[in-house]
Amino acid sequence: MSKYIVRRLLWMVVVLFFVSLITFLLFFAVPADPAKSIAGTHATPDVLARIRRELGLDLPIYRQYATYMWHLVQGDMGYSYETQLPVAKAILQRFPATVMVAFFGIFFELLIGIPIGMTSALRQYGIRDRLFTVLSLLFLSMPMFFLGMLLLYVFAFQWPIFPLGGYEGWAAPLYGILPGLALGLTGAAWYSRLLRSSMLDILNADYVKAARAKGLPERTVVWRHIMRNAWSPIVTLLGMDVGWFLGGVLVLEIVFGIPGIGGQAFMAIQSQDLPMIMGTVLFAALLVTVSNFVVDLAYTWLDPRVKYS
Amino acid sequence: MSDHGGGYRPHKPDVDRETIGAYRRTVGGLEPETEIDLGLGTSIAPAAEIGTAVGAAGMWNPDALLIEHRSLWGDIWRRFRRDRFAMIGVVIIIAIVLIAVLAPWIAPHDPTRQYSEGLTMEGMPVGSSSQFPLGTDTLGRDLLSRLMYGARVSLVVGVLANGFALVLGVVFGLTAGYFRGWVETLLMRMTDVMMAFPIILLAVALVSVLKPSIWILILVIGIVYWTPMTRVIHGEVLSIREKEFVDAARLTGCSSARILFRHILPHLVAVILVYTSLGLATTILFEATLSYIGLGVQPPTPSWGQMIAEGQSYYLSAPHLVIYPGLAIMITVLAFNLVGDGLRDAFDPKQRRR
Repeated sequence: MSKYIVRRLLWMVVVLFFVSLITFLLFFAVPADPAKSIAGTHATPDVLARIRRELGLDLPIYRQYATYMWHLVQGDMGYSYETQLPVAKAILQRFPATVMVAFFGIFFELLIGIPIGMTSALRQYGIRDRLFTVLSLLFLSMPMFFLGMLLLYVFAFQWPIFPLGGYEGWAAPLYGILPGLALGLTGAAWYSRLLRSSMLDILNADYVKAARAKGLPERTVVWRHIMRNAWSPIVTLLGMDVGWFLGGVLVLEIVFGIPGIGGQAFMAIQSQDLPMIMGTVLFAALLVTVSNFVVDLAYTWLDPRVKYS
Repeated sequence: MSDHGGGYRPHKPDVDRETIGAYRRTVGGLEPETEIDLGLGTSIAPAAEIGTAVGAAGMWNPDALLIEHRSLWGDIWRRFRRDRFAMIGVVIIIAIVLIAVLAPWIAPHDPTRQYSEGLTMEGMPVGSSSQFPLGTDTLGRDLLSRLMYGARVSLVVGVLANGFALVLGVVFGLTAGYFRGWVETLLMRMTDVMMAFPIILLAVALVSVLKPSIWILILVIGIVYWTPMTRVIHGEVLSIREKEFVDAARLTGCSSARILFRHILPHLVAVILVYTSLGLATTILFEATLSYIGLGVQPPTPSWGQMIAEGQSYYLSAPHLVIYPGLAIMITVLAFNLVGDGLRDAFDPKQRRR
């Protein structure tokens, strides 16, 4: 087990290394000059040359990359070209808004998706199952930004219950509810479909029949016998969503005007802000790999039969 | 039949992540957990039909008792056709394809022409009228015509990007699954790296490197999207290559290429068809998302995502600017999801989901 953990951790480092390498190369593939976007259009060649020298942009790419990685290993993510702020600080500044959206997103996904999935599986082909099947297909097919705008229109404009987008810190959680719902409703469709099919696989297993036959109450059969084995795919999905949401859901940040890290990375790409791009992409990739890792560990706890090799 | 007839199949974390894969992480899309199984090629006439062999007059008619021999594809087609949801999906797709193809002839106006009568005195878009059935957009262009032309972008990008991802996925998945060893390690580790990438940001970066155009869009979506395809195909090949018929082919001296393409590939047709349909839903959503961010087809060529972005700042006063293109995306994606679900159920009746 500990051998497995060590290997997974090492592999995570390798993945992140490649992510950083690809991002770096991609950046230099852009036929644009970051020095120009810093100095403005009227900069003299002297000024441009000085900026390049200061930022190390005049060095060969591999030297630049080595320097960046050397600093990164020491915990220094560099300074944003655009704002001159330390990248780590800029990310952490914007992270709470992203966390709030992610939190509500996960909350609604589970709150809506799990009961619906369970009801659908336990009452297969019932009226509710059919209704939920149709609804989840609808939400599955809806672009998230479109759903976000509909929610804004109905619940912030027609009936002004929630604010029309924006973010006012964790003290004002109302700002997180509509973006959370936009994430949650599209996501819940996934959870309910997945849970339904994974429960249906198990529903007629011999050990479930045995549990019923020995007279266990339905509640025990469902929670102890069926759900125990139906959770795994849900947990996988959850792990991916946590990583993805915390990395910043760009479209939602645009629709709701949320100052999260997705939008920050987007702006950084457009303004050629290399340290910022590297920082955010690596941060997002780290979140994804860590949450996947946690999920894999969670399997042993959920299902002791799973063995790692 | 394969081994998932009754008992519980423990979910192996790796396989699960493969199938759930990045589908979820791209903008929505496929349902994981597909295990498709080709049923038996023949089926035996049900008892009711044997009853009719006795005939109305009570005469024994041995011809009617012949076991009806159906082809495998005939069976699948029959099941698919009986699926009402899937049929609705097919009808919608045909309608959208017709609209896209015939747009120059059936669209009431030129989608890029700005009509002065398409704006009010205050410069606001006008609502529906006999001249503009769905009203106009913020520049006085006919919304219906733009929607019709927008279908072209969605379909072309969706189909080609999905096809591109599919080709990569099949080639890589087959190679990795069949040859194993370091090839497999290399390819599968590549998918690991790809899946750790923030997909939208990767697409944004790629598009800004290559300047937005319809071909770049197709390329980028394909590049982002080949991972889940590869993983699905890889998983399937892993189980197929252990079957006896593959051993038999190998023993009779077939070359690897022949085994791969003549013996293994036909077994992947089901998976490929299902994932093509569901994948189209995903790629169309993805295209809409990129267009919405402003990285899709550039104006004045209309695309649905871009129309939503343009209407966004007006949509509290003119919600139709956002709602019509949004519905267009939703209906199209829904149709492909319906067909994909239907195909899966048709290929694998035991795993019916509806």
